[in-house]
Amino acid sequence: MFVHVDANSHVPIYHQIIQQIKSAAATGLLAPGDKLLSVRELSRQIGINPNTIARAYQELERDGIIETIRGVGTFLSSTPIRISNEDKKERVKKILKELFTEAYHLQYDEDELYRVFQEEFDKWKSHGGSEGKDVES
Amino acid sequence: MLKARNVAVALEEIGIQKKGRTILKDISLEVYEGEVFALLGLEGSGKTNLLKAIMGLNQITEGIKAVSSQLGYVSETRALYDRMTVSEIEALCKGLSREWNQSLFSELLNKIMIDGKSIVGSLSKSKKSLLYITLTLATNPRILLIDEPMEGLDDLTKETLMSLLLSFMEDGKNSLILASRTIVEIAGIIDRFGVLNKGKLIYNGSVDDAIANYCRVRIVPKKLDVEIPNLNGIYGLERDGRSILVRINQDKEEIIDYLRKIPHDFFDVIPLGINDVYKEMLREEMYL
Repeated sequence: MFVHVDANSHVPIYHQIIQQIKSAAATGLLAPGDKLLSVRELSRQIGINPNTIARAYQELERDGIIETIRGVGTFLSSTPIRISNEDKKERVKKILKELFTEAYHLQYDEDELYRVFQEEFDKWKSHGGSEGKDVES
Repeated sequence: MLKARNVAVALEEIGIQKKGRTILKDISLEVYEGEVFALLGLEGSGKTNLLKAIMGLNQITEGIKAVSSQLGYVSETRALYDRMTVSEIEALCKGLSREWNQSLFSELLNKIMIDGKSIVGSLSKSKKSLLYITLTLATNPRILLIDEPMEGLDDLTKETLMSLLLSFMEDGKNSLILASRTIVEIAGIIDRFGVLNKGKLIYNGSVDDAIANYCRVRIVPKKLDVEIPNLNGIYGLERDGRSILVRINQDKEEIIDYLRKIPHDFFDVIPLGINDVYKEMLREEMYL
């Protein structure tokens, strides 16, 4: 599998695994219904504690991104992601708060800020927005 | 989901005194079934003595120790009888062990590519280390203690060893305790770790908590004479011209929020990887 982690990164290993699998799904490297390596197999391949991998898989399963069929294996979900709307809202609000704090310290003109936001939003939407490619991929 | 976890090793206020010298003091920790625990610290911090205490090779002068199942111990010296052949050592260990897993031993010997006819003394340091660990694994321990697992090994051997240890952990019931001076090479396999400094435990927790709690903030405040209060969670402050480096070890979010509100020309949060966090923990001791 394509997962490659840095054990000495400031990003927890389980989080890196989650991000890479999400990214793989977003870019088409993994297609819905594709089989993932089992916890054991991935642990052996990348030399990471199976507990860490199990934790990543649990969270991905909880969010509906992967599903495990007992005795068969773990697969990329064909159903859309099941994160609650509340969670989505909270995550976005958190990032906006950080943006506003930075703008405050930069003493960035408010109207200008709104214009920049609109510009970037339109650009993103024209590339498909939430249904399109992941911006960071 | 909460899971009840079985304790493999429990230490409560363990202390060791030798000839009037305090080797270990007030060590309390637990290692659970199915986890990899690292005992970190500089040379002379007490790691080897603690491993030996768990193994029962050291006299504990204070505290209580409880071990739930069979232990295996790999000493730092990896001492074997150099004049014997590998097969002779195998026979010796087999005879001395209560439980000997012959099929596992043969399988592992094959994996590490050592011939039974080889003389132990002629083996490279790396091969000898692997042999020692293989012999220990064949005694079917449930709890494996290794002193300096990666020391003196070439890179390929490190990978082979990692693979052996991960196989050992696969059934979810075994426990692994690694004593090491560095965390870099084992960061990928450990669940939790403890840091020893001069015989005392200065940290005991998970890798993820450690990297979540520690960070540095570099701030260039607009006013040169701004006072950064001594908040709980800030363990170090360094001024470097106009910039201030703030070292944080807890309540990271609250402290960052507080610092961000100080009028500034520059503000940056520097997260730390586990190796840097470990170094900070040792450095913290110097600030106290």
